[in-house]
Amino acid sequence: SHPSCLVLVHPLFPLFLIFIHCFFALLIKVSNFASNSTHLSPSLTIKSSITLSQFSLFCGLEIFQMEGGSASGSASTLSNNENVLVSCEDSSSPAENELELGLTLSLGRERRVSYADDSSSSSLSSRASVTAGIKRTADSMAATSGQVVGWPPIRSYRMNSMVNQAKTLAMEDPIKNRTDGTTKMRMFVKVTMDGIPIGRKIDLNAHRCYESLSNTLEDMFLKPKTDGNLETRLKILPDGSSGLVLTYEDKEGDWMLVGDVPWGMFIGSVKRLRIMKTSEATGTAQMIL
Amino acid sequence: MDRRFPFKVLEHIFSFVDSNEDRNSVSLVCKSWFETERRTRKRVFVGNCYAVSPLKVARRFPKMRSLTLKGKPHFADYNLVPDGWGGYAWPWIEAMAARRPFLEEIRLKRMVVTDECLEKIAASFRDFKTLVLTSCEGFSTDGIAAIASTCRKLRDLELRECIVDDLGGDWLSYFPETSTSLVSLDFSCLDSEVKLSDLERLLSRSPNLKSLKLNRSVTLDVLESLLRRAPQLVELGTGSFSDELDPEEIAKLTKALSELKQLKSLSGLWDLLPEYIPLLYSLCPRLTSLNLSYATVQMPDLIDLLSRCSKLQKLWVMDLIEDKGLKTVALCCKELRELRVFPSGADLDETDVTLTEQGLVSVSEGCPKLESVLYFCVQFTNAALVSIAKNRPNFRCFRLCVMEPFAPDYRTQQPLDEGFKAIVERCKDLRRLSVSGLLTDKAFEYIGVHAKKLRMLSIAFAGDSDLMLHHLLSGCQSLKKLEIRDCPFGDTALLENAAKLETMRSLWMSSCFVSFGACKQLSQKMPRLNVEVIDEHPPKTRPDSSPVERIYIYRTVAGPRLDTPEFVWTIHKSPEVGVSRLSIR
Repeated sequence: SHPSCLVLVHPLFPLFLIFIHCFFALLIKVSNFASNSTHLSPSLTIKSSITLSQFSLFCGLEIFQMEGGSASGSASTLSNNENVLVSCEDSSSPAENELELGLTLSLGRERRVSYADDSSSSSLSSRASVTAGIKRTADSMAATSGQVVGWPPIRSYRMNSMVNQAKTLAMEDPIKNRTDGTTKMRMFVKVTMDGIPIGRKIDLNAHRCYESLSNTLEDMFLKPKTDGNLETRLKILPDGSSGLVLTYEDKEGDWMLVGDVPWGMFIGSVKRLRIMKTSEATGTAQMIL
Repeated sequence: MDRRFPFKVLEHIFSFVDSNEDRNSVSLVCKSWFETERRTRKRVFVGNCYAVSPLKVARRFPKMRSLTLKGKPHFADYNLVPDGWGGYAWPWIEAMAARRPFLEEIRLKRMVVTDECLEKIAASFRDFKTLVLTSCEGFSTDGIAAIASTCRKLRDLELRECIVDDLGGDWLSYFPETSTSLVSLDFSCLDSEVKLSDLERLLSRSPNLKSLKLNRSVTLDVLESLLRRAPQLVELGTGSFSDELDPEEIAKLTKALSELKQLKSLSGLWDLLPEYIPLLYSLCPRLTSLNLSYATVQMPDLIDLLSRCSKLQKLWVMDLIEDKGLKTVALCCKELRELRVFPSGADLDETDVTLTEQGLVSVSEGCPKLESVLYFCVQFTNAALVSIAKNRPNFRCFRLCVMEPFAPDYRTQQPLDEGFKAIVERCKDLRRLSVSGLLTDKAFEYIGVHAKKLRMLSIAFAGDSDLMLHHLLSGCQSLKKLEIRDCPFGDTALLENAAKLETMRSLWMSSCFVSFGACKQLSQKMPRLNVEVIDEHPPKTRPDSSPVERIYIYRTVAGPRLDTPEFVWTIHKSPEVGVSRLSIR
């Protein structure tokens, strides 16, 4: 999981600050709305909350632990019945009008996503260990591509077949390539960027060199500043000057820096791409070296 | 004078009443009708295995011959329900084994079935004929072997997309050595290889076999010898279709395929190579069902194949078919009733999308009998949805999955409200709907107003506020199953429409803003609902305003269930006890 200090190097942090301002105002509204009457007041459609929730989902931010100050939670008492396990007790909620806002920068709503290598996914029972095996594949595909769990809604069974299909498509024999040019030989690999929940796919055969690949990825993932220049350029080889670096996973499962090997060799061994923060990449680079 | 019909007459009349919905209505008329109906019902369907206790069902229907059960919520298919949630088949099998030994058919969907269950079935039901497990898990091939060896009258053994602990292909050799009564065998979800000789001998001694679905490890070179032994097949699921065959083998296989004069349904076709497509030409004119969703065949080859399938009623295919391929389908497959287009994973790069909304528009134009659609697409437009609705008002099932969450109409940048409005307005018979893309509360207002026959609705990443849920719960009269994920509402609409929930089978909400307090209130208000809170990462303290990860609410006459795992809390009915987790192992 990502420590919350990554918020500061996140490219969208300035937008963050703007939204926090609007957000506080809205939170007060929302908490009042939730804790007040049981009848619906149609006039109170919180129109702006959709953009915020959209934005928050899009950036993988999560707002949780909202505590409306005016809500007085009924403290539940422990049951006397021995058979009944009371698993949760209400804390004495503060009566003051305090707003607690916890923000986490998460990759694809991490709190609700069970990743294959996350310790929390050990809730999978041993009886269903084989279930775990197949579901882990589906989960790990979701996790490593940065996608949201269960989206798009495809059964795990079919997901696994898709993983294999993608390999088949990528490794198709060039002889089967049609000469009339209507079917291009495509080589799709998944690209994810830290901090963005939805991954993308890129056709590596549409490029002949690292430069064009880098340009395309910049177009796909990075938002330009108002003057047309990119806020942070995507560096193929880290030189310490930018915040992002491009890495790829090769056939052996190792994560390598893009740009080290000739293009042809790269195409032959790449399985998927990941845009990492330089700080994390340094650690990986050290592992490789 | 006794005005009631004699029991025998009633019984005879009821024997013509097949549908369980009608039978449920019949049983509500009066006590004697209830009694007569329950004594004559043969096929029992329980849509939610926790809605009623197995004992009650066993007692109520003494002549029961067939039992169908569904366990986990539908979203379990997409890994949204944590493992271990429940849906255990054992209590049902145990109850039926003790009280209804003449049970012949068991069909389970999304349930946890253990080897113990399978062994119990084999041991307890003398005339057991049919076992169909869909999306089930928890058992191994040992359990299947037990069924195969002990159930002498076995007719159907179907494992559809189950997760099985595959210990090897030996189970196939456990079928009785004398001729079997097998009519349908589906082991397509198993991984390991079965022995060719076992399979050949089984086919030779199963003269009634009509449906055979092999698994992927059955290679192409052995297919010919299998088909030779079963030319009477009506449904065939091949294994892998990609081995290198020499010309002689290809000729033999072509001949064997052309001998399948009764074949109507073809599936499997894993890794189908383009050069083998001509082998299937002889089958195409008779095919009514074709599942190409595991075949990585590109559009030109698909066109070659599909243009010959004039009788096709059901087509499952990947988005490799592209708009052009769907146009061919619209031209050639005039009998088409069901279309499913799955994503291949190759089309997520927006600059190169070859399957667009246009594909579905063409099919809706060209296929007059089309009534069921599942369509995965990267983006969509309102105009397309309006055309589709105009062309095809006879939709019964419309599931559109725009894969980009919150994607608006990509031409106008508007939400897809107007498009879905057209769908629900025009398709009066719509039973099942899945919506996606950017949708505001308005879309759901339209759905609430127009979709009067809608029974199942699936929503993800949509809506602005509680109004959305309110429109749905107050508007859709026939709504039975509602499942929602990642939508920004909860409490108010739920509490406002609490009574509606008892008319529905179930409601699933995950990653929405439902607070713990609302769950408690709902549970107190509606004692005949089980309100389950499913939280894999529960907070240390749970004040009323804290949101819950997932809720699953369903009506039940069985009370809170006793098999909940640690991460599921059934909200207790009595207000003094805040939340209780009844766990009895």
